[in-house]
Amino acid sequence: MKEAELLILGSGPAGLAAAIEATRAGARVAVLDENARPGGQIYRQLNSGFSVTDPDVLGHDYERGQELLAEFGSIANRVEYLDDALVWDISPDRELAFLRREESKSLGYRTLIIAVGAYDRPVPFPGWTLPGVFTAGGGQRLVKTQQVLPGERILLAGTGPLQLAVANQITDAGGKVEAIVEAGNIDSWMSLARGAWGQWTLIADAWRYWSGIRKAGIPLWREHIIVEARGDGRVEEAVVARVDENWRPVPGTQRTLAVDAVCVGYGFVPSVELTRLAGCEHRYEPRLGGWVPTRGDNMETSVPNIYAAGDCAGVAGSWVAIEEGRIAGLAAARALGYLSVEDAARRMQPSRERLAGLLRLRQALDEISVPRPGLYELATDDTIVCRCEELTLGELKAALAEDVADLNEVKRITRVGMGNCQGRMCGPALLEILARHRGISPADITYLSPRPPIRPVPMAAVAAHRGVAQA
Amino acid sequence: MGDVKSADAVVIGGGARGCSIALFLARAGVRVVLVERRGLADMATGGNGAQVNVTAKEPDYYTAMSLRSARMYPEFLASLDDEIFLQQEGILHVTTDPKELEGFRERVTARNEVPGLQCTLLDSRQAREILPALSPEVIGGYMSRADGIVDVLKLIPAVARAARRAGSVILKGTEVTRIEVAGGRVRAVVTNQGAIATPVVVNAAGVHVPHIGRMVGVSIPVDPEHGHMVISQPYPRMISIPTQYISQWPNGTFTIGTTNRKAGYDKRVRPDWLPSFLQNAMRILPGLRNVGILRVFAHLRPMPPDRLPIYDRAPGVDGFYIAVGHSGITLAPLTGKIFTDWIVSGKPDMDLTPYSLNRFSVGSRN
Repeated sequence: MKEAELLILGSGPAGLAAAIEATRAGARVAVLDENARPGGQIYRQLNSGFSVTDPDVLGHDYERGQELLAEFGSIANRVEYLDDALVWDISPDRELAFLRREESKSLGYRTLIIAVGAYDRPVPFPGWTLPGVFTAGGGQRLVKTQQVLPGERILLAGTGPLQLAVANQITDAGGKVEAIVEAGNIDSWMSLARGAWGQWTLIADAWRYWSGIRKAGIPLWREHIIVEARGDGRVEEAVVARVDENWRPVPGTQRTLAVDAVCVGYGFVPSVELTRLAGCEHRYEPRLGGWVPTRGDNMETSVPNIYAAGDCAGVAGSWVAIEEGRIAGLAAARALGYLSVEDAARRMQPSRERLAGLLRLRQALDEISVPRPGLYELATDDTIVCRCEELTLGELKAALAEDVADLNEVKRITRVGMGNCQGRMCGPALLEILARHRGISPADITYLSPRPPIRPVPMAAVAAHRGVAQA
Repeated sequence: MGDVKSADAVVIGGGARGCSIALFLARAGVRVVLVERRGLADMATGGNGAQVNVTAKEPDYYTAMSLRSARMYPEFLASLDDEIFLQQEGILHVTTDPKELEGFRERVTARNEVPGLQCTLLDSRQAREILPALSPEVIGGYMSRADGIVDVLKLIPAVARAARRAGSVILKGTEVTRIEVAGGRVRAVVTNQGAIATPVVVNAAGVHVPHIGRMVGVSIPVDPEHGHMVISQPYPRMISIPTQYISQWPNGTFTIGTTNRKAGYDKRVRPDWLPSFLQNAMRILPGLRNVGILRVFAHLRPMPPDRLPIYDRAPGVDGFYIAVGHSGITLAPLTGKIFTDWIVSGKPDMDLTPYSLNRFSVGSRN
């Protein structure tokens, strides 16, 4: 395949939904996904070799995922699906480079839907690099797909409903959650409940998670965050403190818990490497997780024929991702001439209505998850901010004292962001640090320049890269 | 910008040449302001293979100039406030092609005519003694201990700090919008942060040298040449000195260059251009096969038509100096000295005829 008519990157909720709608409209769809099986993060399917004996452990999302996967299954034979495919570069001239089974090739596209999701927000705090500190998503993945518990006495720290789900998954899998600390306060949770009104399945889920936690006797402390993880070579204790509405610790409220694992979940950061490499315009939206591509209501980005759907264009959860995916799939099919304008609008209507219904919920969720200033004040001068290059906050501040023009100059001077993660782990915090230092908004800071490959790729593969002419 | 309203000299461009010139000028007591559009080492200086390269240069006067600058490096670095990695133990140029080896023989002869330069032709066995990881396909090579590599990204901020300590003002995020010329001489540099009255401007703006030159009506032929740079993940020590454009740094990462193509000012990576030079790299060093690529980017080398620097003053505009070329890293210390001597005492300390602007029969006022 040298050129795809409608290429979809990512087979999570948004990508699957887009593939389903576009294929039903008659378009020839190709899907590339990094993983071995469709589903993305939230509907992550088990590796073959495991079978599901107790679906409850996997949560209700698993059930809903099964429905969407079944819907995809019904049209899958019309879709060109490339698994284990890592897109490592994309250019504005309708071509991308991907690695699959150790071969690197270019692929052209006429229309493109980017649905590559988001990743756990990394938050530096003292002790966060100790073995035993996981992201909430990472902990969840361990339990769901590897059937491994992160530890025996687990602390969940962060904000938002994901923690409740993870707590239940750990408990259902036989693990012990020592406590859940939630940065938000009761007001924000009440507004979340109001926002969820009308979304009965969601409310049923939330109730189920809530009861599960009560039944297991897990303490839930609102308005608390973890301020330090301590231990000799691994996590042995966590220090938590009460916080004010800006998530700043209140002096004198610290408590120490004996734990051997911490799952930290402060929301997600949209994966925008591909949209940035493709030249899409972005704007800074803290409520949506940070930098997001600007889009019209058909999910088209500022680059014609490139669409973005789901968490990669603004973190809003799987329900929103599915509807955005459907709209993007239909819009792309229309752009290719498979649907009339009226037909496309008609097919999009249910999704638009569902999105409108979810809007209040989304606004409440955004309210809960937007990081408050205190979160980026947890790191001390000794705290490592760039894990790959082992750079501390103190070292970064010293570089900033030299008067730097932008993040790229900070990077050249300190090597921050030059390691294996290429800025994914340190980038969000670095932005906040520089913004604070300058007294300006992160929106006014030029972010680290995107560069391919967006993940490491073997030299031998790139050396044998086949361009579109040769593919 | 605060209170900088005038200077004895304004240097435009915060790359290797600009920063070095600012340092040497400041140390000579000249009130110098360096204006940089974005951040230091933003363009070619921040994205190259970091070589201090003598033997790749020709003709002989350019080789000699590069040798002179390479020799200044240890003292140059010793005068800075930081430990900067410099290795001057040679760059091993190798070949798998008998015809190219013949060319190496001639090149070594030519290089050895340059006073003080010692260049050695090596056979296959000798080359592999120096770098055991070389492929058996390598039939020979040459090298000189005059060649080496330096940690450019640490060097440039250190030079800037030293320049500031010596009294230079360095303004980042400051873009030149106009240069005021009156009565046939430079009067002021106007930037997006205000104007600086000055009788001297040094145009060290790299690929943007022509743009700055046009501000005073001078045409300077410099084209951007696109070169890829591949950065690898860290890997156990494979080579002790660089070979071709492959260097392995103290932290274990490789930098691998490079391609040479004209692509205007578009710095995008072109995956299609990567295979041939990566295949060459892997042919010479088969162990690279197992190494992962972490990052690929491209830099734009400022390239005059004959590939030699342009070190000159603009005709018809008193006080306007031009300092441009590729290989800014190699020539950094010497360039700082040349322009400082020129500006302070009225003459550079060497014959710059080969590097004049009028050798292209352009450069006249429009």
